[in-house]
Amino acid sequence: MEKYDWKRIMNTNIILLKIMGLWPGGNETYKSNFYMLWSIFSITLFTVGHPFFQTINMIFIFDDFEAIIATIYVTLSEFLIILKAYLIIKNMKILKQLMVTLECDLFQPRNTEQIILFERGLKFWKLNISLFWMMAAGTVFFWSTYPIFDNSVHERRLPFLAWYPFNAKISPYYEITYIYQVIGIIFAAGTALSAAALVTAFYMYIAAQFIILCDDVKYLYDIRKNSSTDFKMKLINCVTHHRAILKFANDASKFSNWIIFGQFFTSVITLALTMFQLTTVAALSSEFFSLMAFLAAITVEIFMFCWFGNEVELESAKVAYAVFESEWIDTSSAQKKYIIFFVRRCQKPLKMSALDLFYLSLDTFM
Amino acid sequence: MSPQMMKFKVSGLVADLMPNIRLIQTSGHFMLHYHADNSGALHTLRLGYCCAHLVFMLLQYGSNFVNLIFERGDVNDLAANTITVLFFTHCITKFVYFAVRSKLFYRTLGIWNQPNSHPLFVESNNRYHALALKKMRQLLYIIVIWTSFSAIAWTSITFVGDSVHNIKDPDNENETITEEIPRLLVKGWYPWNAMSGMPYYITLIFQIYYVFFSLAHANLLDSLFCSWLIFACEQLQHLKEIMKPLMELSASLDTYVPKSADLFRAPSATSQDNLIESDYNAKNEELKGVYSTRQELGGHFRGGALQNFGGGGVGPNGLTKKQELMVRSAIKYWVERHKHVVRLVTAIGDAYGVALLLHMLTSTIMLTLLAYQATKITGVDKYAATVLGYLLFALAQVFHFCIFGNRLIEESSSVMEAAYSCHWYDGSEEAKTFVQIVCQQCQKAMSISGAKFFTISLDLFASVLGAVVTYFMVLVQLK
Repeated sequence: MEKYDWKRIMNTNIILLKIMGLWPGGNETYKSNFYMLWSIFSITLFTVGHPFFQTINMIFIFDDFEAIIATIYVTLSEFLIILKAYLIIKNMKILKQLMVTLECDLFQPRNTEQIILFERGLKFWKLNISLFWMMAAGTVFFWSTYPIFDNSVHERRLPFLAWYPFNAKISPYYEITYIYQVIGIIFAAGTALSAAALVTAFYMYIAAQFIILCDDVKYLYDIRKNSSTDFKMKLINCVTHHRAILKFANDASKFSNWIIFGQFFTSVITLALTMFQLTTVAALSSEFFSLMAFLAAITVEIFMFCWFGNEVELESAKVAYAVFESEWIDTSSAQKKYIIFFVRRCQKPLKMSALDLFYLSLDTFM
Repeated sequence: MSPQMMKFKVSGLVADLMPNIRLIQTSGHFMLHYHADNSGALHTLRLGYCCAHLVFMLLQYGSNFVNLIFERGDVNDLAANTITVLFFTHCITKFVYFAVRSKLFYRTLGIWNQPNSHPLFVESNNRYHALALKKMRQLLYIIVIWTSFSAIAWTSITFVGDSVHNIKDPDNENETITEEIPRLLVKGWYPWNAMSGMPYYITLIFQIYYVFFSLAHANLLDSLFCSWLIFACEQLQHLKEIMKPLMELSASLDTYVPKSADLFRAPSATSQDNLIESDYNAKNEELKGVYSTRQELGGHFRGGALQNFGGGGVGPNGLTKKQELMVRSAIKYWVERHKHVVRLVTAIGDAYGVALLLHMLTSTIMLTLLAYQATKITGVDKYAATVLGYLLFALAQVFHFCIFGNRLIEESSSVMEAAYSCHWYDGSEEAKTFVQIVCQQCQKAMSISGAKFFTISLDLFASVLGAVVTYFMVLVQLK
């Protein structure tokens, strides 16, 4: 059976990350080469620069409460995005190592039936990410174009209130700054999307691994073609696989801990502020739609984290039952005792958490 | 496999749930299997019948919705109409859901077509099966009576009180006057004038049909779901009960064994017809001998009686090879039956989970609005009666499936206690290991989840009830 390419489903995201300077090539972290130069340039100018100018503006308009609220909810999210970009760069080594581990033999599916079983989960992930793409695209579109729809282009109004060292209302500068802001927000949305995609992709891989493990364990005592009859070896293989998955999950957690924590923290605050904003703008205007799209994007982001965390928990709980489904009745007593050890450990489902503060599951989402 | 080719043979769950299935088919759900004669013409006729129902339902639902849009000026009317629309959303959702996901329902209904059996446990199996059947029938009666009663109550309350609504006075902007509207069960918009005469009666009858059939659609599907859960629970009870005889079967000969013979006193134990589906058919003759002599040898289970069985020596626990094989076959039956029940519960969850999620979403919004409406009750009148009626009905629907979901959770978590409370210390080594594995597996209770978002249990009902009361209290304070 040829090797199953786990990375294939993440291809678009990897390309996006490359464009934004967040994915150095090869299996190593950043090296001193041209790509690093591009990363520094793009991240400083767009991902960091855009919120930076907005923050400076906030200092100037501190007295105007409504304007503060109008900008603060976006600025908060953008700071989160800077944090995400920083974390991705800092943890690039762990990230690359995880990708390498994924390609190892132990994590490969054993036959085509298993592939069918976990592909469903992978497709759902793809669907989710596409949905998130659409929401983000909608938000970016509405934000970038509402001055045009509102006809405030004539007043030289920019999509985001920001301070620039030059007068941004004069003709060539206005267009350049407008385009700069649009690219800035695209970069921001892209970073947010990619970070979420990376984290949930790892959860999805873990869930797929558990599905493979379940299937292996279910047919432990079945004599199928191309499999050995040495049950003890097969069981030991399963145990090793299980431990490898747990280690993989641990590493993935290290990478995603702060991202998830930051995400939840800011999302909660942003949701409250956005809803407050909704009450102050006129209904059905372009601004209203952009707020709705933003709200939807945040909700979908949190939902994605919770759903895939939940999937990991569910799939890991199924392993314990998979042992029961195998033909353990006819085995020897010694074999049964091995099974008991294995099952005892499998009964503790794998719960993904953020800094061990709360678990990612659908309960948290509700 | 086209419906015409399918040979109609009722077995398993379909046979048990036949009255329910027939009612579901009569009410117009898209359940097109399970007919004796499924030829092309009749099939098309039945499909047409279902589609006609669907069209009528959607028409009336659309009419409600249009009326909602027309009357959105007045807040009270808006709230009332929204509640009505949401109420009938349940019914439409269930109708469409069943049509779309009928394959999963058929799969669940067919899961119990080939249950395994073991001669030693047939009597217990039949007893619990009969119990499940009785409970399912009772549930169906209750649901049918409740649905009919609700429909009749709704119809009768229409004829009580004034049939008016408030609209803005065309002369004076700030005043509202009352205007006559047709005395119908639900407020709907019709392209004809339904105030009196022939159109009025036709509309009235159409609405009575609509209300009755909508309620039937929703409630019958819920009762199908609950019947499945009843069946699963009774199977779990059966498994719990046969733990004890299984242990005693494997008990060593030093302990008091003869009681087992009394436990197997039921007719099936002495019957000569073989129901064994396992691969021990070769040993039929010897095992037959075991069953019949067991009765006579009730008190003679030790010492010399062993020699009569012949074959193999005495095993480590004092059991002969044949007895060990029998113990093993009993354990196999238990484990296979348990796996079968788990498959059934998983299939039920797959089939109905999303419907439950949609139901809970609609109910939450509807109950919030009802709490708001309830704060406006000023006395014992038609308004109070209708609000309370809606409230009770909605809560009863949620309670209906919560209570059975809860029972499933309780039953499946008590299997472990049953395993522990039987005389496992008397059993053979094999039986003890079996009990250990069973205890480990059954620590996690089986439950139905609403598409993984929440678990169906009485906790859910309590939280819904708590939420309604909280909203009501808050809204009363705000008044």
